[in-house]
Amino acid sequence: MPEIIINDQQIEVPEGTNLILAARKLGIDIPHFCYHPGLSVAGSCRMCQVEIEQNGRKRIDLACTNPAQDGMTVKTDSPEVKGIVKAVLEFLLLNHPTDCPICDDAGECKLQDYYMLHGLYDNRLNVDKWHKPKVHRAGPNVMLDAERCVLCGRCVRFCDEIWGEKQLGIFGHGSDEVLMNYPGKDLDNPYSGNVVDLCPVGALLDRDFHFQRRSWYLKSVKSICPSCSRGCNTYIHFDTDHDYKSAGKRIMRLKPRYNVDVNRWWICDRGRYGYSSIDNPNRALTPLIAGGETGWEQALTKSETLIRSSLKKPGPDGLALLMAPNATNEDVYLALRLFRDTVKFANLGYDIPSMEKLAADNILLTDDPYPNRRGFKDLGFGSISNTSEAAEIIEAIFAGQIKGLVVCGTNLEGMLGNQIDNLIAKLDWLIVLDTHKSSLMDKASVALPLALPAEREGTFTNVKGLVQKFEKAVEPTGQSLPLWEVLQRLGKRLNAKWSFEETHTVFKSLAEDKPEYDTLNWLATFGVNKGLYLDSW
Amino acid sequence: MRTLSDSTRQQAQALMEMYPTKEAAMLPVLHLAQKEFGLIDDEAEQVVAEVMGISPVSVRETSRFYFMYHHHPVGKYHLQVCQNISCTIMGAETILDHIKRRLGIEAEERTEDGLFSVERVECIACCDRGPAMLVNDKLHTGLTPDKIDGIIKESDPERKLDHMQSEGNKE
Amino acid sequence: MPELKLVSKNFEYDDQPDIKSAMSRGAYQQWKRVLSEKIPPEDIIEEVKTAKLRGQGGAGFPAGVKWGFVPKDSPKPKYLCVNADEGEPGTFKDRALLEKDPHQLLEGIAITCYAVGIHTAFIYMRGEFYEPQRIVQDAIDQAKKEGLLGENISGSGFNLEVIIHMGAGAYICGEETALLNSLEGGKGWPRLKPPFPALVGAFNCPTVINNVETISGVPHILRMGGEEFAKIGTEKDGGTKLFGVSGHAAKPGLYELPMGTSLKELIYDHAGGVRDGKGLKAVIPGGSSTPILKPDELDIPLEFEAMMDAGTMLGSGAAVVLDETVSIPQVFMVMSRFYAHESCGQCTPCREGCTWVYKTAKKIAEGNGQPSDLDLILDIAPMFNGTTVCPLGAALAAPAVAMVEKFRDEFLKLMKN
Repeated sequence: MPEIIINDQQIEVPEGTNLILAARKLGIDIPHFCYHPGLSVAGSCRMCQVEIEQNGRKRIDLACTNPAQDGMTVKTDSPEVKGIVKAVLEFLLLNHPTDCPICDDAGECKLQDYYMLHGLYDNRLNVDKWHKPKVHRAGPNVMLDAERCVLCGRCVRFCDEIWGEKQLGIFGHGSDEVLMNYPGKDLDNPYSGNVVDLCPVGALLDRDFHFQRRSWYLKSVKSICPSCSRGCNTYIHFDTDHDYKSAGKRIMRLKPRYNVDVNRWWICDRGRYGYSSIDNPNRALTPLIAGGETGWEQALTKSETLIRSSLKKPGPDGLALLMAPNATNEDVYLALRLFRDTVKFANLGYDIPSMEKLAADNILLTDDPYPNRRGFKDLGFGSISNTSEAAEIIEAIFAGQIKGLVVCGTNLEGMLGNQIDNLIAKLDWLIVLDTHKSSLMDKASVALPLALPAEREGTFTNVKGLVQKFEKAVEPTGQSLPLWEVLQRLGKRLNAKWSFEETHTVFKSLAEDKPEYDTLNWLATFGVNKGLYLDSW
Repeated sequence: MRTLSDSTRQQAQALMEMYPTKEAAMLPVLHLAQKEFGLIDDEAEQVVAEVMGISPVSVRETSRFYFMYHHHPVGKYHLQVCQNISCTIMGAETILDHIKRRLGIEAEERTEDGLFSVERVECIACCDRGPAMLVNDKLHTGLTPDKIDGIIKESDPERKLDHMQSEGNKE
Repeated sequence: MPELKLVSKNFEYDDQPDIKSAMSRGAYQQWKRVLSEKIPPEDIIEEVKTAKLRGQGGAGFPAGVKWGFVPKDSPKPKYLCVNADEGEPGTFKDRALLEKDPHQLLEGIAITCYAVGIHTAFIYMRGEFYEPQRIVQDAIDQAKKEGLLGENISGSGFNLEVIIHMGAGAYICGEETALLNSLEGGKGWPRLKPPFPALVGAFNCPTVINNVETISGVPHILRMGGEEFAKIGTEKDGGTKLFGVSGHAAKPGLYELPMGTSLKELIYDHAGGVRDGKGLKAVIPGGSSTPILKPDELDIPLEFEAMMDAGTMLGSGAAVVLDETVSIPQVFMVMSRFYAHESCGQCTPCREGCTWVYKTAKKIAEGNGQPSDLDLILDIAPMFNGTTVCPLGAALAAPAVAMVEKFRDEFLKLMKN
């Protein structure tokens, strides 16, 4: 492994590590625009120039194109280097509109950061600035301000290299160049939002975030995307302190969080722009009894009564739990402890024939729209058979064998269509737990509102078996509660022998029963942060 | 949508097979398409993309990079006047002004009848014989206002030059 | 020194593009000899090294050394790209070589390909070279008919295909790696180096790229022998060079002179000095990328290093003579307009810097400049000189600084205050 010296500090790095990465290991940021570790090296922005001394010879060269070689001495702060970096920055700023006050990227813009760092306070432009398209719709999710673009080409390379199809180009020649999608053809690949993260300036922006929030008002927690079984690592960016344009909106955007084993720097648009279901008028806000609003005490008492009434007749064989695999491992664990071990339901099903089969690709997206199927399987959920338990349970209901049913998040209406009323008619009682309002909740004997992942903490096990924790961004909507907490309260009423106060104690108990899940240090939390991009490139 | 003629398609196909990669045929195929369509506009780019089986973005990146691909119609006679140093000091600006007056158009414009267009171009490598220009693919050197009149007259014998202001009788 | 015609020796014959006429004057003799005597390829490379033939496109890299970098046993095909993208303002020698003696070039191509083990040669010709294209394509067809190019040449088993690839108007494609990208169908953006084209060039294969004039000189090296060829020039620069003179010279044109002839001799003895008895204001010695010289600075030998020492460059050997009537700010505006127009747009400093200098130059030329504009140019020009992928920025920066420094008074006279 080559050993080099950067700004008088020594470091050993793996063969092939370039000087930007090597310096970063020492906490030294070498300014750059076009370089990104997930993309090919372009070497075109010319910002990352450093002084390299090797074999007794000094030269000024790019940090991105030069791998660390044994015996190199690198300086990132010599007067000559600083002069060049400042000059390149001046060239980039020359025609930049400096419309930071109305730019969504303000506060997280590299041009702005470097500008402050290098003290380039006065524009020496003695001639007119050029003009290029602004507020251009590049695609369904992304807008472009070509005047702000520094032509680093990261977005172009993302489409070429990661998505695999050219959707953006730098058209023109010299200073006439404009970054653009092909006229009439949208930037519409399922990963298009990543170009916004990659854009080092405010040229490519999320259309849904346009003029929504100043970035410095945003807070951030670490989360896991619940939109498919990949379990991409994300940040939830939220703001509950400012009313401007909020209309009840707390979650402002989702951003990818680097995880080399899962999603690297990327997430798909389905996951990225799927947060609107959180702060949504259709959320279930209060418990219901026979469609009428009530409080938790009454609803839980009613649930307890219904369950107890059936324990002898029809008895365990006549009782079923259907649970969609979007519940967390903690939820699954307590559901098993309650329904399987305490009240001894004989029928537990989670393998619901998916209403929505996703088009999997070889980037991130899997074909399973549920985030925790693997966790359900690992923890031993399911009793009738390995496949389509839900279908068999439903068949048993229609056959009159099952009379009491608890449904957690399962889209029975979607499955059964207008048969749903016939199904309900076959039951003595139906308890529904869900995050969003539905006619099933209205028709249920008891309906209980659940919190979404953004409103609680928990773990999911992704398609590859990786147990990943997510943190709570905002309070549960209305009176909704995390599922494990509902199960805890119900368990207490049904004489369960266990009791848990917090999510992490549930997980601890789970991990004792299931040692291969004991991979998380729960308390090493990230908490709520004001800094946004911990993995910013 | 326009299409390329069969013979052009065949030429394009032959070019794609001649080079080690089909993409390498891009410049010559764009030249062919321009010859047939008279310009490379959005539609022509898409036709080329379809014929070559490559992304229209790639075609556009190339077509917009090179100055010889026109994105707006040019005249039947396209006058490309060198404006570089050797030609300039030998009087290229005077030549250009004369052309503009004779044709009644500015540089980068086309006459209303579609016959003539004028473009300023960079050095065309005949600096010892300046001022020089290309009319379509024909090189003209040692230009003088008289020579320009001759070239215009030869291209469009009907064109009346005398009613226009010429170098000699301008106010 | 008197003219010494090697590559231009048959320029005077109008029928030289006809293969029969050319062969009557010795064309393809060396190529035939190479094949019949089965001269070992490495001997040819050695001969070219001995000849001290330098790249004639402007950079002056020794051709034989360049060929030597190409791996002998490459599993991939190898390519020759002849750089006929002549575009350096002031330069018109390659046009003449293509139009007036295409068979000389083809013979040079054949010998080069044989020496390096290449079976496909591309002639990358600038798009505006309509007439040269017709002439060279015709010459290729004739040579194929004569069995001097194509399959199994003269029964030797050696195959060589020569393909003309027309550019489409972009000065930058004369930069060898931009040329490669353009050949491959893309934008002419220069590539990061390393890897160098000798290892990873056209279509990711080992590639030799040489200027038309360089390749045209190869048959003469074989005819004369490397040592004799080297003797013509100076210690480091072998042979002759086609020098061009344009602008206000009494006799503009091409002059083939031994390397090392003085610039003063070129202008006064060969090109007849300034026309119409006017005084000389300045000379741009080697294409517009080379820093301008004042009349008292012309006594320099035309060779790569001596020109560097004099603060300018040999470049493409194309001198532009500016008489006393010329406005330097006007020339400066025209020159910077060219580089602003032709900057490919890849690297920030060149893309932004060249345009900035041009806009400033225009403002000055139009009489709206201020003295601070000159200081600005001197301040920013070094920042796009050497800070980019290719030397296009440097090609404006160096001459810009020279013009502003040497003719500051003339610039100031144009300013209001």
